[in-house]
Amino acid sequence: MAFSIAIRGPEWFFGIDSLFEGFAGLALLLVTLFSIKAYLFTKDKRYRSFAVAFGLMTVGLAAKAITDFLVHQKIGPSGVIFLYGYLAYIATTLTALVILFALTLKSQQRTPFIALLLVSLVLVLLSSSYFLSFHVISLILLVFITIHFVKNYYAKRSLSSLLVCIAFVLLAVGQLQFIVDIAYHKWYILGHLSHLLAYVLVLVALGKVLKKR
Amino acid sequence: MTERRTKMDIVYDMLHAIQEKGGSILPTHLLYKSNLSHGRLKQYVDELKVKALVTEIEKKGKMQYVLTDQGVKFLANYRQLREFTDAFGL
Repeated sequence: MAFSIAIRGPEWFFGIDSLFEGFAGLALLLVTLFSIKAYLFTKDKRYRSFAVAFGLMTVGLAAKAITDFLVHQKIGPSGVIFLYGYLAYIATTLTALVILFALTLKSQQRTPFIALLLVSLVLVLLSSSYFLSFHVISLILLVFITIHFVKNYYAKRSLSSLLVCIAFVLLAVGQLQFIVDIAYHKWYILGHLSHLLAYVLVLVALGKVLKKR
Repeated sequence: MTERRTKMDIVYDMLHAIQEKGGSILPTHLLYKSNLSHGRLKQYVDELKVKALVTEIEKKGKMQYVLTDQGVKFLANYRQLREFTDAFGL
């Protein structure tokens, strides 16, 4: 398999990236919990799928944050930790993005999305540059998901839909910055900052939802 | 064309109508506000009573539907849910 340890970003940023990811994981966890509450309240499958997607992203980010921390701190067998940690991160994130993509299309069909997920996972795992292929596939999926959120904002014209829309634009931009980082370093930090801001906006949008009485 | 109301939407409209009237409403007013036929309104009211979202009381010789604490909680949860659904375009 093409996996090898890839330390990304400057040394001073080690640990800070894990903190950012921990915060993002917390934001995603809160959205997951609200989606579960919505599902229990309505028994509507859309909320269940949404909870699964955000739950998987939470697990993926937690795996990445723990992996980065252990590898940077040189705790345990780095190679094995890196392999399984990043496998978990990539697999859960791609699965979550495909579920979100399916949700945005409001499709009842499952087979095309299962095929899309399998093709994406195989492409990443067989690629000689797994980071590049993972970020490119994530970017493509995020662009389509973001188009849905832009359309949703124009349909609803509410502050919370605008915040979510900007958050997903930033997530897509972050993926682009992670791709550029492979050729030009230092973009790694910008990618993390974009993602951090995106998750702050998701939290603010969720806060607005919770304030609604 | 307006979208067809779901069962949840109808329940919300009924409870919201009661809340807007200060917590209690006459059956005829509820019928008008919820935009349902008499038969369907009765079905829904029976279900709301079973779920303890509304109760019936007699005020000045007239029967009224009253919103319960559970009903108020349902309205709050539904409003949050609608904001969430709008925010994420679900």
